[in-house]
Amino acid sequence: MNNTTGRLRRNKATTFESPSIPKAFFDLQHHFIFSKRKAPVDGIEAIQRDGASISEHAVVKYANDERPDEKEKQDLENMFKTVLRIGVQNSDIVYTHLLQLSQCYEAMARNNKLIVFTNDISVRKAFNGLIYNCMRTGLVADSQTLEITGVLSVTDFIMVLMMLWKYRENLDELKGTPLSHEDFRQMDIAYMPISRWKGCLETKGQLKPFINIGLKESIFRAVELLTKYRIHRLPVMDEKTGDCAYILTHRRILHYIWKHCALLPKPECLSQRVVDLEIGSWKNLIFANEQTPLIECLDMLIDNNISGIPIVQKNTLKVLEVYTRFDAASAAFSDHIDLSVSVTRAIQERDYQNGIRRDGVVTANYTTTLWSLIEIFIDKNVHRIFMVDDRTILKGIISLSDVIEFLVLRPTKKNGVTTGEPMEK
Amino acid sequence: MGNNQPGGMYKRDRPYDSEKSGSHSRSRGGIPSSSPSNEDECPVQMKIAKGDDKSKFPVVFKWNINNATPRQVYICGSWDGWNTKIPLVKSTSDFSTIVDLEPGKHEYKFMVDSKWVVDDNQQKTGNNLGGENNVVMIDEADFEVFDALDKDLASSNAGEALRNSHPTKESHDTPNDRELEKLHQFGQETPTRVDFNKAAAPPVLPPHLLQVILNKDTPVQCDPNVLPEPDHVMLNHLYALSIKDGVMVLSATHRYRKKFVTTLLYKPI
Repeated sequence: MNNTTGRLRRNKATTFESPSIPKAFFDLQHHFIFSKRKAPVDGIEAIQRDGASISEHAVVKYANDERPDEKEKQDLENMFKTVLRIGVQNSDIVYTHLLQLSQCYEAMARNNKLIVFTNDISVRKAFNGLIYNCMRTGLVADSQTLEITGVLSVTDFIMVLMMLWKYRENLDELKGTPLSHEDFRQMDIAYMPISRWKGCLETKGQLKPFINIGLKESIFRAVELLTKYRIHRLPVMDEKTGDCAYILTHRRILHYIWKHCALLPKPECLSQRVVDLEIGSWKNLIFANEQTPLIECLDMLIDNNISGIPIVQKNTLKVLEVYTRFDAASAAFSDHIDLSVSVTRAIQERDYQNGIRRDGVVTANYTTTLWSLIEIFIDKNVHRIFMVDDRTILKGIISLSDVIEFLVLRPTKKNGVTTGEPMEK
Repeated sequence: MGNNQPGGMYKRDRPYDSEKSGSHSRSRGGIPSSSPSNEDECPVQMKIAKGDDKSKFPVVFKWNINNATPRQVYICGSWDGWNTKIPLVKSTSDFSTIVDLEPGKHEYKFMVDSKWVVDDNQQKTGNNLGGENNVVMIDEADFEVFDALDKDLASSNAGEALRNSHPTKESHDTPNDRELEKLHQFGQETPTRVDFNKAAAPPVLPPHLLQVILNKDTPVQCDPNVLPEPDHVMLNHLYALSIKDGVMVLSATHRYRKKFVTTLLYKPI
């Protein structure tokens, strides 16, 4: 009995209470990592002006397999290179950063076509050259030094046509009669050299300054210039030699973004409807009906600084056709230049011209998302899309410049930073 | 001596030698033997290229030295009625000669140091005097290989070069210039200009230059400001359009870093 009372209890299981594992928090952020040497200087300055921080890092230049010999190990400049890193705080700003960190050289095509006119060539022959090459813009060079001093575009030709027509309308004996091709050839304005035409524009105060950009500047800067001066084509020049490399357009910028957008995070606004994002024009639309005279269409194109107007039915606003500046320029090849005919007849006559491409009517439903709209711009290669409802009734107009401005410039304006003059629509 | 059995053969040969001194025995020895012979085995050890006379074929006869070296070895045969004794030329291990024979059957015998003997290694037949003679069968078919060689030489370019001394085209079996040089005769005449008319034309321009990049039709989908990528031979070349309406159009393509710029210049004249 004494032994049993003093025996220790054995084989008793002990339960331990395990502490709980704390939850881990992941905070991933996208970053742009780019070479310090290749990034445009003005793009980096624009990023720093917006308040974003850019950190600098040194990374090994060679992969493990390509490490040089032992002797060169001590030379740090050969081992490391400097890269810059910037975090993307908001996915809306990702395209802005892409263009700020890209030189204009990178948006260049493999082989770029340029037309240069010396300023002693006549205006009519210059326009024939533009039409023959299906180009919208040519450069103007000084006939002595061959230095590029300006651009000549389809808009100038439309202004010449309008000036001629209104001049004849003021003469009582010639009022209402069409301007024949031979009459156009014999008139003094047909033989006016480009330099004199530029002088006339300067006298009227309609001459635009020659806006250009350097090859090493950022594409973001190019978008700012295109938007500020309301131009569609921006010559990109070599800073050292003064030669032009190519002409940057909204189309090339959109294609550049399209080429890189697969590697970038997608902003949320791409999946929203364009009517909710308020891109483009939805009120006070400018259009013409089938019976509008051609001269009034040209007035709309020039005065409102737009490149194309829709042709709609008078009562229902149903979209039928589009009339662009390039269509107006092809009137030079007609036997008779008659600006008093209706725009529908002008379009029909324009279709008979051979060898000249023409932009067709491109429409999209007004409930389309921004991503689908960008796909239409990439696929159709047009400059404007008419937003319609199910019965093809005009609801709005969105142009390529509206999309570029929304994707690139709007995120910086949201931060309270204004670039240049405020835009008025 | 070693080729024969000393006792038997010696006795038979001795009476033949004594009879040989008379003219009667000589004519009797020339009669071809009627005994059968083994035609399957060819007794000729070597055949050399035939001579100009196509009715006869060269045949090599050898006498192998076994023990003692004889001083003189002769051969006598039925091809000339056993008249002439032809001496064989001594070599390191044998005596040999070449005799032109007509196709058919021939009998012959060797005289070694003034003693008539037969070659036991070759085909033998009996003669009228009770002794034996060697027999050889000459067939024209054995010499057909030489005709094939002649035809091959005639058809090949090497043979043509040997005859004409002016090969017209190259081929895999043309002899090299050193071999041809031996065939030519050097002279003092200066070659005329006509000899150099065969010279080939200078090399043609690169065919890429014929494809003018501005003459290509760009597809409708393409941007009119974009052109196809040029070949490198096109760079820095000046192209001109025919002057029309008093305007000259020039174009050139230049490289800028990794990309290209094609510029058209419109200038009035």
